[in-house]
Amino acid sequence: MKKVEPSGVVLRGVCSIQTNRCTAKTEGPITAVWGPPGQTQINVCRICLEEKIRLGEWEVEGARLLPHA
Amino acid sequence: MMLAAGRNQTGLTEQQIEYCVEAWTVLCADRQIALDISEARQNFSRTRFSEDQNKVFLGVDAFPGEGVDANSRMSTLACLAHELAHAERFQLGYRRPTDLPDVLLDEAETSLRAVFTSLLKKEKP
Repeated sequence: MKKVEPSGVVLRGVCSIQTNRCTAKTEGPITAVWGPPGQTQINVCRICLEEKIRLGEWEVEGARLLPHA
Repeated sequence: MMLAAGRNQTGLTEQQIEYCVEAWTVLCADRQIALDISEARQNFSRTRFSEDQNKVFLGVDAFPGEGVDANSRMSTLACLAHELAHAERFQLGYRRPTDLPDVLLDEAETSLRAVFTSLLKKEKP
């Protein structure tokens, strides 16, 4: 499991994860997280970030995936 | 709703509004929750979720101001995450109380929901 850290930054770009439900397969608003090795920038949309967390591949300290309607 | 004291009270620029729209897009992901920017240029406007209209109004207090307390310094992304949490709770069936102390409890529960948002950068002590 990789520990990633949210940058809190909003930028325009393409999600580098692109799961089936990705919302940034073409350029649009995304965020970035820092992950290994070192502090590598990973551009990601919220859907893909949370999918990575749900699958147990990424860990974000303090984050919880809460149910929504 | 944000506690305004110490947060920005000046009408937002187009650049600031554009940033908020993009931040909202990232936060909402695949959820359709409207962000109304019609009041964002007006001084002293308040960021808030409207249950009646089921949308969030962007106000000038979405941006931090000169206050040094935690509420005043909270980032724009965190502010919007808080309002999104109100909208999510509304969609889950929670209805906001209007009387004290229940309204404070609702704000606290909403803040707790928002703080778990995966996108938010956690401040290190």
